Amino acid sequence: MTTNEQLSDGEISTLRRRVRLIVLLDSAERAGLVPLPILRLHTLAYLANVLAPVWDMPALEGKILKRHGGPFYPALQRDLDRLVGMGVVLISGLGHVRDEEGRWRLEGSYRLRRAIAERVLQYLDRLDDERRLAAFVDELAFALSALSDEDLDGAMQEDATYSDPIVGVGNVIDFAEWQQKNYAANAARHFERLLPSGARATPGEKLHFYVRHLHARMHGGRRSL
Amino acid sequence: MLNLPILDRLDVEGYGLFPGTAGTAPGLHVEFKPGLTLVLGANGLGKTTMVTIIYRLLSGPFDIPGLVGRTDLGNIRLTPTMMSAAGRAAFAQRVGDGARNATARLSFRLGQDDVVVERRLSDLTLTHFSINGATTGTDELVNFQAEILRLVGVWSFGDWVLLLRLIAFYLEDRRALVWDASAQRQILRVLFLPPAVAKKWTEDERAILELDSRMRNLSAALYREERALATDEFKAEAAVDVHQELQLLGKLQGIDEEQLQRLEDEVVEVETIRQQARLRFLRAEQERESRFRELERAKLTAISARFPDRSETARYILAQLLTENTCLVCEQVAPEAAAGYTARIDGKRCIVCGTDLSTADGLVPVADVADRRVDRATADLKSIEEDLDEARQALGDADRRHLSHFEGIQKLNYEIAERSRHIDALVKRLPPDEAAMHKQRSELAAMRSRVEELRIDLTIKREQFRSFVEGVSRELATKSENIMHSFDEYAEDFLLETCRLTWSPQKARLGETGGLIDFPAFEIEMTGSNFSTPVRRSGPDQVSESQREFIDLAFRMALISIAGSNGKGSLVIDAPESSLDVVFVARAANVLSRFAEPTRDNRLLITSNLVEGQLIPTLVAKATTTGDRSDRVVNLFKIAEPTVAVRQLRQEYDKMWDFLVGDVGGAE
Repeated sequence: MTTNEQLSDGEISTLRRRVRLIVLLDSAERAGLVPLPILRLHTLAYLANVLAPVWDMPALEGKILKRHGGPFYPALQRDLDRLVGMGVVLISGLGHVRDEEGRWRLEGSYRLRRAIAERVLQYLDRLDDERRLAAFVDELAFALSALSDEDLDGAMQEDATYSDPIVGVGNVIDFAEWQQKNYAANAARHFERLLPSGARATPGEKLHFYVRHLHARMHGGRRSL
Repeated sequence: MLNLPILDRLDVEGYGLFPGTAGTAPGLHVEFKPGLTLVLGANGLGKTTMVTIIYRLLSGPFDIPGLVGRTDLGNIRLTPTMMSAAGRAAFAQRVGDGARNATARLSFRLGQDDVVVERRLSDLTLTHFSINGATTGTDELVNFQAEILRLVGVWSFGDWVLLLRLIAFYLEDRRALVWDASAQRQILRVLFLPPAVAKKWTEDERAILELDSRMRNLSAALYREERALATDEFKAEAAVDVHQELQLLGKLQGIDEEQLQRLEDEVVEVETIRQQARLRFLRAEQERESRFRELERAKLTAISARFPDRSETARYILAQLLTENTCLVCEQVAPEAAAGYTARIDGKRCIVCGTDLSTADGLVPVADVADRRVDRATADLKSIEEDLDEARQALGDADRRHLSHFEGIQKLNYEIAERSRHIDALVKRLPPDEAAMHKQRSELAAMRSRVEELRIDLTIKREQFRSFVEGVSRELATKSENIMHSFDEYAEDFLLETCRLTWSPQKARLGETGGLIDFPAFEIEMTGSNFSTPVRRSGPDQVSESQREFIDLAFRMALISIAGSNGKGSLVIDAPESSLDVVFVARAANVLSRFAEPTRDNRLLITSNLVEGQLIPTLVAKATTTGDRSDRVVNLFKIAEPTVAVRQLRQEYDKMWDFLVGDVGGAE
């Protein structure tokens, strides 16, 4: 990466993804979710994309390839590798496993190496947009921390966008790239209608509602947490 | 669930083409047992005629115009119309007596109901129609069609004809359903939607198509009138400069409108290419990730065979360095360092200190195996990285083309609208004695606003329909897993490549204008010699003819097993051997035999010439038993009026029969 001059589009995308990873791991740690297993990290990254409109923020990535095993962003994973190399992120339980389709993937759990990551986080905290992003991801991580590990891993089976049967496995879920079709965000917003007349839900409350809704669906009913 | 027809028995009497065998009841009599019925003959002995008789007994003298052929089914009217007199007399024309006394009778079941239908072969007139033994009237519309709809569970006779044509009968003029998105969406509608919803779909679709047609006709008329008026205006005496400008603008308008039409026509193609390019890129990216991890794992194994300690992080960082030539610590490309470490691995030395480990007990064999795995994984990664680069490039190209296409449409729309305003302004400057033209202009303005109203109406209706189809597709998608699973069962082992069905809604335009709608559809994905990962085969020309036919058959079988009541139905296949590559024959027989397993209670009727190869012997061996073979094989050499070739070459045909079928006699 160049350190002077202007950053290229590719470098900017890379930087955005790395910032997103640091923020995700930071929030996950505060919510007691670390060390965060690799697929759970990608699930969190996906939810941060798909639920971003609830916080009135754009999605970092508006599309994803639907897989049997849940969301997985190859480009994000490469950046995670780099962050490990830079010492910003620690990996444990490293291994390689085959997924349901016989493809190899990395196995491991991640957490921030605070001594190094803190410098980045402190700087991000000085930027309005990044502070908003951190607040959103914090709220999301807290909402998700109410789920058991098992429920967290199965959440995508019930996410309105990811599990939409109209998109088959092996096809592209496009919720914010070439079209705006975000059922998860719509569902999260919808819960406001369930409040007493005139009451407004904050974006954070909507995230919590949505996660409770996921939990209820996973358990086959409307049981709340 | 629909009640698909289960064929029980066919009797053809008094028809010159099938005189029958001496000593038995004259005519053709076939009982369809659960499983296979194989009709064997030679050219001219009436195999196709027999199959067509069965088809006509079920459809009556009605066809959907445009159903046969390659017309996009999304744009045709799915209403059956009475065949012409010549069409109805097709069976009569095949025999000398005009089939004067010929009748054909078919017994079949629809769900729990036993149905018998009999028609005159001279003109297809219905002569008998009974349900569960009770004879009903023989009016084609009031009795036959109305009862068939009720018993099958469809809302229109057109849908029944679609079921026959696209599912039950695999004839020479068939559509390749699995690659024909417009036929697929119609058959998915018929098979899986409740009749009321299927009806709403058809009616809404028809209303939009008619509105689209009206709007385009009016638009075309408006365009012609405007051109004519522009010419008149030019001829009229008035300020020369205004006329010249009007003429020039008229020409430009014509050119731009043609260009706009061309771009509009290409929208579906441009959008589809872009979607496919994105899908290919994302899949290549996932595959690259998987192969990268495979290589990483292989390298870790190679490293660990030589590593003096168990430092996980160090191993991980080294594996990354060796895999990507990039240092994870400083992010610099470091090929020298990677080469150095690789050399140590290759030289069977410790990766950290360089100590020679080639003599250490047990290390070298493990390392050697690991090294070979690394080599293979390296080659795999290289190949997918090339694919990924190409896919990235293709996506960039498709994205740019898409952008420029839509910018082109926007620009042309804007310019045409602006020019139209300019033309109107110029016309107003024409002298008052050209009042007639003014009047004509204002009439045209009214016409233009009518076109605009229709356009708005059409946009609203299209949006409502798009939303309706989306809801319906979601329902259909819940059945897709079962259909894909059933397809896998039938297609298993047929191909050497990985072949799978995927649920993949397709964009299409309803009519010739307006936005794109995602219609429910399946597609085929296969690996091939040029592809390392399964790739969409979106057209029949992307697979060999042998593959094409049997993939399509497996798809139909899957649809029957999921949509038919109790998962069963009948499949009538005319001459499947014609397109088969010799090495695929035995595999094809496996696909057919699976459908014909008697426990499934399907009916599979296959006609074939006596051709060399394994299709007939394998089918006979797999789908018949010694005990029932004579009932399952229909011998047209004994039943049908012999052709000159059969008369003269009888002995050779007999020899071939014995060779292929053995001494089973055959139904007579």
